[in-house]
Amino acid sequence: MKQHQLITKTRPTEYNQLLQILQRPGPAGVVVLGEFGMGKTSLVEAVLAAPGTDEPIMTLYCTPTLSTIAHGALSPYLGALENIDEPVSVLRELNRSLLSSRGQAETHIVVVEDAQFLDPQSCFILSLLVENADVKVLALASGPLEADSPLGSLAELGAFTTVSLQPLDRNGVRSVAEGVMGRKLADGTVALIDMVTGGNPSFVEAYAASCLEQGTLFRDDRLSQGHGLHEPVWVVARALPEIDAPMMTLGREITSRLPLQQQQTLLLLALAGPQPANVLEQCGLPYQALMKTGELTWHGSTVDLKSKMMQRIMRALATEQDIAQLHELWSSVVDSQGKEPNAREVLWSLEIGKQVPTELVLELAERAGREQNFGLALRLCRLGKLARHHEQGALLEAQMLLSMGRHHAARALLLRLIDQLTDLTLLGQAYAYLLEVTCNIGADGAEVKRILDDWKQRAQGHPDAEKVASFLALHSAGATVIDFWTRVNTAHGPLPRVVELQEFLQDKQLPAQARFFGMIMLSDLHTSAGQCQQALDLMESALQDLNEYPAQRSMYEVRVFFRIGWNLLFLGQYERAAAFIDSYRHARLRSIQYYQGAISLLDGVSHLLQGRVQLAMAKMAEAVTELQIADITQLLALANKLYRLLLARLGFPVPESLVIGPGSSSSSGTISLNGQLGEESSKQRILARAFAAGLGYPYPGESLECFPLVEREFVFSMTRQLGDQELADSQLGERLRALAAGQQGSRAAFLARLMDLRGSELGEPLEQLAQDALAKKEYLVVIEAWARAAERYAQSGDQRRCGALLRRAAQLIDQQGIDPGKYIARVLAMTELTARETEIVSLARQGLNNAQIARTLTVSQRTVEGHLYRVFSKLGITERAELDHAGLEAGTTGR
Amino acid sequence: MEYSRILSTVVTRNVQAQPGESKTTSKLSQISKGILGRVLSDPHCAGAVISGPVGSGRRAQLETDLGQMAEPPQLIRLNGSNFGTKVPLGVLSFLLAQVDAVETWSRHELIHHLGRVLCIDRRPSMVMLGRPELIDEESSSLLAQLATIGKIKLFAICEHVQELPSDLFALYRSGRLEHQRVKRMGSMETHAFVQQELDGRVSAYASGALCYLAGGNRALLLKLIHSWREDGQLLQHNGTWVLRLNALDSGPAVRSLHTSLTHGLDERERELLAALALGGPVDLNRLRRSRLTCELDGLLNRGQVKYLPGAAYKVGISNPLLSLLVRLDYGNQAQPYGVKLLAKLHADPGAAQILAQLKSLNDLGDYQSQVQVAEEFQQQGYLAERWLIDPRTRVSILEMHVRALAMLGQLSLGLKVIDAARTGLVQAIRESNPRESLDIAFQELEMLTSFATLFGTEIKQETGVAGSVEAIVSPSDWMSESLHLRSLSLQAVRWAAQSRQADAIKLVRYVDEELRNISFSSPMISKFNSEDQADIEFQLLQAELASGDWKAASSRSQRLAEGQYINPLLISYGDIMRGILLGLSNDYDAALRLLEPNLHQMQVAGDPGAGALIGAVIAYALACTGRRAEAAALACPEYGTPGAMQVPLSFYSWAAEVFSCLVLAELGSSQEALLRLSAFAQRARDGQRALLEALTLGFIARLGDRQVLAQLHSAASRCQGPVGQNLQALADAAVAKDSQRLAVALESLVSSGHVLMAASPNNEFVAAMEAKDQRKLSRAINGLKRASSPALRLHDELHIDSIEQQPSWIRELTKREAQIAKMAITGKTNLEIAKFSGVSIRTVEGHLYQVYSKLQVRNRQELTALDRTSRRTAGLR
Repeated sequence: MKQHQLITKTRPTEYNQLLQILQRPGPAGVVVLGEFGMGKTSLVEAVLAAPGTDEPIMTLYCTPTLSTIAHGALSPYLGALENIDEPVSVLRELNRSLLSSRGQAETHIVVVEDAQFLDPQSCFILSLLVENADVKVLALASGPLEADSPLGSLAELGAFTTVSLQPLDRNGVRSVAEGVMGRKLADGTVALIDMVTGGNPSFVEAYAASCLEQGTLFRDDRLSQGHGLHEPVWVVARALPEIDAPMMTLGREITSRLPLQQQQTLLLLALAGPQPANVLEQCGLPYQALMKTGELTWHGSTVDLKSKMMQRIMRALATEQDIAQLHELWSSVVDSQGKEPNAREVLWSLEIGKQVPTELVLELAERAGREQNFGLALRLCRLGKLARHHEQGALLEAQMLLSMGRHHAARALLLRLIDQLTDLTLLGQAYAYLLEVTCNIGADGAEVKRILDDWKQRAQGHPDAEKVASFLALHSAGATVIDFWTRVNTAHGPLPRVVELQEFLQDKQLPAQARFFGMIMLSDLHTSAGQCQQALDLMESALQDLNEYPAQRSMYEVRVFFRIGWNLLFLGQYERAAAFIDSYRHARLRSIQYYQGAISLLDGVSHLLQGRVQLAMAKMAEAVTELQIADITQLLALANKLYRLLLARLGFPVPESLVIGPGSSSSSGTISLNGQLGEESSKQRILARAFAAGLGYPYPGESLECFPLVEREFVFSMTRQLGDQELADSQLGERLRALAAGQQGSRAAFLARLMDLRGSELGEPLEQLAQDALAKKEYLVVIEAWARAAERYAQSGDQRRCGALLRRAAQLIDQQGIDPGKYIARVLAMTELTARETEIVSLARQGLNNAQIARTLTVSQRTVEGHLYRVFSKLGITERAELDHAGLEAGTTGR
Repeated sequence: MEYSRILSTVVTRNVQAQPGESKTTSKLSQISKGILGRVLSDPHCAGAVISGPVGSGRRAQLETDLGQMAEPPQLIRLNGSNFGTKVPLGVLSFLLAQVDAVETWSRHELIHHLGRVLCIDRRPSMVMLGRPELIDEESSSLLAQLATIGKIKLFAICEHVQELPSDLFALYRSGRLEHQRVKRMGSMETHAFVQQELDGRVSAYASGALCYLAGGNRALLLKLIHSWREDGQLLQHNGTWVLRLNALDSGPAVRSLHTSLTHGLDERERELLAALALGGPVDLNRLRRSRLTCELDGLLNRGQVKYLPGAAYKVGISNPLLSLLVRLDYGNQAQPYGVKLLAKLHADPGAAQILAQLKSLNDLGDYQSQVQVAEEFQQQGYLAERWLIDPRTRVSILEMHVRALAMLGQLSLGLKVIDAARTGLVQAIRESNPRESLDIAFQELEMLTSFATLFGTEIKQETGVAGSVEAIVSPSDWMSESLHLRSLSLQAVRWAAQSRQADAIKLVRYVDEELRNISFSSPMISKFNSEDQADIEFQLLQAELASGDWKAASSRSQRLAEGQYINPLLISYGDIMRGILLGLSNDYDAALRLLEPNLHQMQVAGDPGAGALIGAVIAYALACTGRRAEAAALACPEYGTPGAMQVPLSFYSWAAEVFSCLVLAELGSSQEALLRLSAFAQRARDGQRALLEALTLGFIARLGDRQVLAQLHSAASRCQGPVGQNLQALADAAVAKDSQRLAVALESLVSSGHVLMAASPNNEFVAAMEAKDQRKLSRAINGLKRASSPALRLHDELHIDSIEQQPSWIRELTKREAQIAKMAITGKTNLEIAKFSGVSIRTVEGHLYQVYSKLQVRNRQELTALDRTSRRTAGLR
């Protein structure tokens, strides 16, 4: 039954189409086409299980062997026949054994599985039955319909319809995966599954089952889930599970139908990656048919496997011998063509133990790294033993580890490297990376100093003056950057002034790495001060620049991406922000895990700023979970703080943060245990610190006033809980106006205006403000302005106008799921009807006139009129007819 | 079809993998008993496929079930074979002989006639098909057709479903064959299986060793059990089957085992297998480069070798027993083979052979010979020039050596061995260019040194671990994650012993998280093997024990006992620790059940130290259950007085002493118990083990000596972390005779697993408490017991997830207020509410006043509005 629901959820159109055909009188048949594992059988089973459909009278299974035997498919039903001469005897037998005995049934349904192997004789019988005996045939087939095949001729019949199943869309993938796992999955994980499996439901299932079995699903137990807050969110910690027995079976199910040559094609593509068509042709491996059935796709001018999972499965199925032979065949072809090998091909060669020139491995690994395929690059480094043979290779490996957020491994490698490197350029680079790692895993002043000292000393006694000069330049840039970094991103030292950083960035000779680091810090400074436009401009130009520095791009793009999104949101440009974030959302398989945390965080922030607290909560939980897995952007602490903020907003107790690793209590032998977990190492980042201050535990020497942007939001949320008089009495309004006036973006402008107008007595300007804010989707401001305006109207006795505004506010709150806060909730009470009024409204809705209502309630007509008058003004309506709609929105019928 | 099939297998698997199932429930019925009946009774079902590795008991259950049937169907056993594949319809010869087949028969006629023979009186025969991958296509097609027509019920038994010939596979795909996947037995299942087979209790070590050696292969397991029972290695001691393993004898039974395992291998495959057995695992790359892929495929296919997990891409023999057998066979051969290959496969074939030899001796538990072999190697093996070739293997040998010494209780010798090796290595490093492998070897050596010092000598405050304090403290220079985490776990042990318990616990948690993260990252990236991981978990358990975090220790020891790592020593260690911790949480029945088999094992294996500890706990459990005579018979050795048994000061000696004294107290000689405990406390103070001292003093006070309270306070104040604080609070409360504070302190102790301190019999703390507080305390104890029971925990979790959502304002109110507020919102008047809840209208007014002021609303309308908006936000209606 559960499965039935799943199908109606994942394939509603096809389901309904089939159901209609089956229930329609007259001859009919369907050919359900779809590649392997698309859920053809499940679909048919679901349709047959639908109420009003009969059990099939025959289910035929076809196989290649049976297709060569006359009446092969029908043979299970012909067991009683001694021998078969002609169709007449077969038909007679079928008639006797099946059709007549079930005479009462409405429709006779015949299901044919693997109908592409239908033999001509059975096919002929079936066509006779469909056209004349009121039998409905459901034929399930994979692969393209070939016109001259038996099935093709069957499908040509007028009574037949063809339904072809396409891969699932993302919602379908979610339904199937969550169905198997029985858990709610994060968006990023669903996207990941979709990409890995290509939307094939069988793959999705196998994937989900394997994740469950192998325990690669993760949820953060520390998030207080389940108590009416948000559903627990699960993420997949590893993009691809190990290939296990069920997956191998799946793979065999696919390949077993294929001729040997085609299997070889699949294997080659699995091993060597995308291949140009002419290589396949010269290897004598066919690909056209596979292309038609959908196993392969064109990838530019090359042929590639459709799903990543298929690639892994094929490899796991192949024997060592197969692989070795295929490599021989392939390499001879490639050599004759003189084709440049690509990274995957070289990896393959390395895997089977062939020697590949180190230079080539290095070059390809670098390229893979630039394409953000860190895993591939790292494997090339490891298998090619680059770290052992090649200094530059070792550095590349470190860079890959760094890019993947494996800071400890990178650090160990780098520490080893700097003792060995002789080339000054590489050495400088290594030190630069080392500094970066040290920052990421929590800088300890002494250690940074030691690194810097070491760095400088290494230049001594080197003959090449030119190299020494550039080495030292890099060193001084590194020292300056680290100084800035410490001041921005830890609680030590005063924040650098903007000019200082700007001056630093003016230097044309600055190494790219230092420049990007500097730009990011400068943008953070701007952001924190509320100069979001400047921060945005800076980051957008950085994004442009990154295109010219592919090596840096892999490391900094995520950070730049996050900052652009953040600033757009805080400027109040929600639509642009959404479009920008979407352009990165689930963009590529390999980068999903790196981006997903930042994306969820931005989604959460966008919900938060627009007042959708509940949604923000769910997204933030997702972000925290994702970031626990991979936090290369160092955002975990920020996400954690925001999660706590939301907890506080919703009135939940805020848990103390769980500190891992020995704190200051240890007198000696303190070890810094700041791991990839991030919470520890990223806790002092500027924005995280700002929110910490807002939540009431600032770092020593800091307060919320040091972070104007965040202060603005905190003050705004406080002003929302105050009445106008209270606001006037407190400093908050003034403070917010001052803050907002000095900051950039439409959101700041709206806030300033709101504070201005809340000081005045007039309602109309507030309404105007709400109108403007609505156009910009600044919903919280809209709600505020409407509610405050309504209060003013109520005071001046214009009940009706007040009611109308509040009704719109309630509508918006409803529609967006906004948390209006306690104050506004109480203002909305002005539209709330009393029990008596509700009673009268419901009577009026039934069409009773005032006199009738009066009689029903045994009160005077005047009383009813009085009640209704109050109702009208509360709801802000003028005519009785409007009651029908108005009442609904005010919620009086909700119970 | 696809949906349902995968779903159903997932479900069965998850049922099997239910965590924390107790040993008593047999998990043998892997093949659910129903499958035979289900298939036979369902007319639409054509049969079943049972897949699983060889020796996982695929066929056995089926045959048993069949034997139990009242009217079994006609059974035909068919098996695919190499010969059969070459003859068309070869596998069906037996069937074809029963019909007078005529050459001219069409296929339909053939089927028709076969059907008549096979399906008599409409009862289909049962065909059991073994090795279906070795039958020809024609036969498979015929069988498939017979099964679809319903003339036979086909039971195919294979290793992987994908090996079925295409027509049978198509039948499987069509969903008309049920599918059952059978897994290799895990250690818990093996335990149950062995118990069933031997018809008696079996020690965890014995079953763990069997499971490890046979790799969960049932057939092997059976043969091993029988052969070992014959030659007395498996023996019954006091009603428990224990294992005294020393060598694999070379009798006919073992020889036939070898033959059956290596049956059908060709010469070159045999050679490779021998090379793998003699030299240990080999890099896949080298195999490929040596053009041994064909042989490798052969062995992989038969399951004799496997890819080892991890990033190293190695290939090794799939179960230790096979390796042992091949070695044995090798020794018996006149014409040795495989040696030639060794030179191709290993950089240093000599060292590799030694390592493999050590490993196999270790598998047999023969530590004495291990030390001999290693000492021989030591003569030449650690010279500087030797270190340059394959340092990794050398370090492994050294490690095996030190561990063997540790098992023999001669860890102090280990330090000398390491020192000797270090000299060579340092020289090698000095002479050669910097090389990563040498550096790693050096660090491994350091790690080994700290291990040896840590466990070989007493740990005192401020006395660092010789030579490597700095290395442990600074995490920066470790060459790999494995080294890093191992060093951290050693550090945790050290801190735990040095009264830095809080730091130690934090460190343990950190390492745990790191381990989890590593398990999430792709195995291709992280270089981590399960042996290192097992090692780390062992250390973490030590740290938890020594730092008093017994609750965490308890769950970890349970995981180890359940065979998270298939390592007999670790399994039995986990089992013992679990038993002792159960004793410490006053669950003496369970402790008794777990520990008795272990005691018997220890008695046979001759490990006096561990035996004494287990004996003490058992004696206490016996004394508590009133079997005083038996308790007294398990005489309790003394650790406290100098000159008594030389056991280092540790959690173990502490536990042994405390339990011994508790037994004495139970048996009536409290005075002696107090004396011994004070002596131990003194010893702990001299050893600067503040926590052990405080705990000992705590037990003295528990036995009624109030004079030690001041001492207890001072000792507890020297400990860091929750246990120390709680003990301190306990001392204060006991001095003040404050019943309530006593209860609070004891309750917090209980929550970290220190139940014994609060358990009632003979407990002066409890006696000093008021009845009300006593009840509260016992509730807390029961609560802890319940929480540790896995079935309930699972239920709880589900429960939490499905709690109904409520609007947020309700959380600010009491239950009664919320109830009244809800009624007010639905439009009831105060009078109605009063009537409904059976209270006066005044009370209702009072409640509502509270509600209004708590929620800062002025009237009913505002309350309603608040409710509505909070429901809106929460997405509730």
